[in-house]
Amino acid sequence: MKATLALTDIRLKLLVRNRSAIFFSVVFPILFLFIYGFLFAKGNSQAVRFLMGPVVVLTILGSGFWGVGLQLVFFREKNILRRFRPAPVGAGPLLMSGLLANWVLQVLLVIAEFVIARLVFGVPWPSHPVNLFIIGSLGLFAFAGIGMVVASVASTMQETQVLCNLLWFAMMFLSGATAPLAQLPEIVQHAALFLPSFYLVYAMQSILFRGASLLAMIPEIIAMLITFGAGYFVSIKLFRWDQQMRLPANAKAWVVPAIIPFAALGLWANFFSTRIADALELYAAAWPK
Amino acid sequence: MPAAPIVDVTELRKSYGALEAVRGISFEIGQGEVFGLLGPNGAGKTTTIEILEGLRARDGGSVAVCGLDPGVHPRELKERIGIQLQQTALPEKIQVGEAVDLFGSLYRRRLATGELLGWFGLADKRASYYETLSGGQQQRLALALALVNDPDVVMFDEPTAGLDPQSRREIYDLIARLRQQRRTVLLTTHYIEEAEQLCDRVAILDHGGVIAAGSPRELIQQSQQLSHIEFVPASPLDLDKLRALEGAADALTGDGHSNGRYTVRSRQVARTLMALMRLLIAENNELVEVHVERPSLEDVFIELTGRRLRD
Repeated sequence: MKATLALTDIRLKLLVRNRSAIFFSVVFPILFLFIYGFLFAKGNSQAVRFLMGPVVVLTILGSGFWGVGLQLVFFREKNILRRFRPAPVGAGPLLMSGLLANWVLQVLLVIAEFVIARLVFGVPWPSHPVNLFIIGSLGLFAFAGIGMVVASVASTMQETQVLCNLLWFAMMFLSGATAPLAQLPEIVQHAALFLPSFYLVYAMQSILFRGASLLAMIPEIIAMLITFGAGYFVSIKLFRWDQQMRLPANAKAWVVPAIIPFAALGLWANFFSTRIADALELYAAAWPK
Repeated sequence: MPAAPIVDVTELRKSYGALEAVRGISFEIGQGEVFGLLGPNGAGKTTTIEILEGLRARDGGSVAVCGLDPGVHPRELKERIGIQLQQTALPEKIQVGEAVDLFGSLYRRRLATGELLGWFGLADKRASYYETLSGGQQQRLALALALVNDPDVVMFDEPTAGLDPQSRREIYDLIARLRQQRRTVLLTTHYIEEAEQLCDRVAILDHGGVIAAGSPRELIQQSQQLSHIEFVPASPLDLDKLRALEGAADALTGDGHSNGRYTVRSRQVARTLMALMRLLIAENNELVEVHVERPSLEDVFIELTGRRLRD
């Protein structure tokens, strides 16, 4: 625990000192808030409130993929992880510190986004901030889990970027995080049920507009927890201290445990739940006519 | 060698597929000794030191460092030893003091940051970012981090590789200071002068095996290599009389007297020099210039392997 806290402290300082990280982790999401607010919502506070779900998801999605996943590969390629190898510290604290540092930054950033939304667009304060906090945190952990798996099985920075971009675009554009689900073709709506970002947008909007309880989101919470747990476990299993360390031959197969939770949730949601209908109903009720 | 070695390696073996990287290496290091593993690239130095550090599994033999088997107690061992690996880096925006604090916090025992930075001449760089340090300063910081847990044994893998001569000299001074502090140091190097200047004893490795071991002086004395006494007398000398000097070897060369320079090869430099002085006085001759060149570990390596260390 002592090592994790010390590493988290340094990771936070490094995050704050890194201009490009600050741009992509802080400035970029706030820019999205303004673009969504002025362009899509046209300054309407009800519409902006509806779009706060996608904005928050975008914020933590980038943090999970780039802040946790890509940063891990960067440290590996630059021989920074190698420097820690002789110390009595394992992969766990190194991975966890990256996650915690990003989590702290994102919690502050999401609070800032709600403050901006309140001051600029007149969006009311969320009525259930604790639920939002828990779901948002779990979402970041789940995205970080996926980011860590990608970082663990990818050989190079370039490969990691390609994989993260593919996942990022899918999660952005096919899940309701940009265009609302109601505006997407039906087949995409069903495909969206396999994407963690859909559930996070849906959960955020349900909390913001319906005051949804965490109990109503048990399947999503379980899927996010398992995704994070699987990602963390796979990352420790496949942890490499430097680029010279070879991946085991079956490494890519370790992606499967991280995919299973949302694959299972997608199947369940497609056949046994009313998630799409609920999301469409939420849109119809919340989006100003 | 003290009775209880702090590092004890017996018949160590390691293979990578068909390649036998380490073939039955044995050596011991006593408390307070600076011990060098000297050899060309690919000799098995890094594999050996990484096995001792607990970073690599061995295929055979036994290893004990501070009484611990690195393969069985790697974590406990890491608390007791300090390690500087080749090719490591720190984040660009970490401050020097932060790096020492961070690594110190990972160990149960640690030295004070200020004290450590003072030793390594980095006290005024405490608030500097890693990216602003010169190559030599970055390497000094790497060595400082290896000492952060006040280790019983310090292991440096090619500590001066890639550094300019001045930075290398600074590292030599630091290691010499560790020697004065009676710290046990194991270092690998392919720099002859590094081994000669810094090490109490060296093991010369080639193709995964120890081909010679002992203090640099012992190795040189045991070798068949001869010291060269080069000198310029005021008047020409008889080569037969030079060959007959005490301690002079059978071989003796001059360079054709073209610039009056003679070379006597000797196994007993002091005796040969005294005899040469007596000869010059007896012949009422003068000595214009004299230069003694002793054989080096490089000569020992060439004698043992038939090639240069960096070939």
